[in-house]
Amino acid sequence: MRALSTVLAFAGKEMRQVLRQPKLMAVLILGPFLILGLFAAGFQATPPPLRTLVVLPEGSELESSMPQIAEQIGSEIELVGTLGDTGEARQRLLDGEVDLVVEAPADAATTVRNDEQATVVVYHNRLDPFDRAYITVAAQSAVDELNRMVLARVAATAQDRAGEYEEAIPTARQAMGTMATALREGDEAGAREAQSQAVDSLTLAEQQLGLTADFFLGVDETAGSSAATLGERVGSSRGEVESIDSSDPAAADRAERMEGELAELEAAIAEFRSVSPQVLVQPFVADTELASGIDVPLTAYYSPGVVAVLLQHVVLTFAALSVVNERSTGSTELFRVGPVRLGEFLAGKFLGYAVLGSVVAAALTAVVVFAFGTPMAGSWLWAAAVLALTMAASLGLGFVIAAAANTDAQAVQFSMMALLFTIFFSGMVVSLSRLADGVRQIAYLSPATRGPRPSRT
Amino acid sequence: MFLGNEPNALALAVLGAYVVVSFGIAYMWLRRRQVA
Repeated sequence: MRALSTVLAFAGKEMRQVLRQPKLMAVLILGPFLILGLFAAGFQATPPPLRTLVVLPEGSELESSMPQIAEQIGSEIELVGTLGDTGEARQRLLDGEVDLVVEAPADAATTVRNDEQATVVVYHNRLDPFDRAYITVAAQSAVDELNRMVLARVAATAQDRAGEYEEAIPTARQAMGTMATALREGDEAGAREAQSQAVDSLTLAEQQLGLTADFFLGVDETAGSSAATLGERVGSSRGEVESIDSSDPAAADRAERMEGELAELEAAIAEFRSVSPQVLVQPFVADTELASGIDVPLTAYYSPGVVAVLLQHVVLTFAALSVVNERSTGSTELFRVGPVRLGEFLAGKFLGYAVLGSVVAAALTAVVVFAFGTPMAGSWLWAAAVLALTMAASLGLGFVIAAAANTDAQAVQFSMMALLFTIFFSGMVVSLSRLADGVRQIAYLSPATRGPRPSRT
Repeated sequence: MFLGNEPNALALAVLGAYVVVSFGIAYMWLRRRQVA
């Protein structure tokens, strides 16, 4: 009974001490949100487009296709102009007028003909590692786009050539029809003439196929289709037409069947020609989606971590400072005479700060969920359990700091160190999976490290 | 908690152990410094 009243007395004292300072409470609860809100309002998830200057060698053929390239290249890069001189372009980059200078290869066509890849050099002026990674990705994706434009041209040529022999297949098909009719009417000479006409047309088509057939084969195989290629089909059709013996009684039926097969082939070529070159060279595009189906905006991703880190810092600092205060004001001497046992002293302080911490945690969570719209997909009970344990662990760490510190200043410094450690290692900013084994385990020394993790995963 | 799956029991157990150990250290250390 006496122990309980001592504990409650300490708890009440700590709470009153904090509540007597309304400014402190306001800063504790409002401060973090002003910062978080400002960050949310001001942070641009998609960086502004990179202003890009292209250096083209004299008389480059690329100059004429620049508008087309600019249109295709995506929103990460904004082409602001072209120059003929690398030195001048780099000076403008150093002056901060542009973000990127892209140097087109001097004689790309010759380089490629010599079986070498032509290098597009991208100059930038950024030191931030994230910016650099972004520029690398943006440059690669722009060059990929350029490569696709070249391929699309190849595909368009292949389609045009498919048009040239598009005539040949219907001719062969009609000839097979004529042959079947002639055979049924007993006109063997007419049938042979039609047959040789069909073979001629198919041979012509086969010769012209070349590039187109290979191209189609590549697309089909990559897309997982195992259908016989156009080239093979034209070739085998020609073989079959040739092998029809007009004196065979079944020849008319075979000729009719070939007529049907050639009609199918005709449809396949028409289909190939109807696909746009852009789709042919880029048959796949990626579309990523979250398994949970809940979209998580930037603020929503960071806010659970912020709640845990703030909660840890607030209660840890309170706990550390209050114990050191009692010691420096000499109150501990009184407690010893009291007599107040250490267990009662710690339990009282724990209770007082746990109540205050719960209010802070509830307020932070409420603002995060209801004001910032962080989706609450889990259960409130688990959320409360995780936050309560994070808070208890932070208080424990706060008391350890109090034991280690001799003065207020030391306690404040230790608390700040704990906060700094937490910001780097709690997984709030940098995901824990990015930390090396060994360091990741050290990261768990911070109570909030576990807090946001069950929160987010 | 906010964004999806429930926290795993292991994480909560480790957090609980953290509380016990930190309070244990603080208690023994503060007693040696004769705080109360």
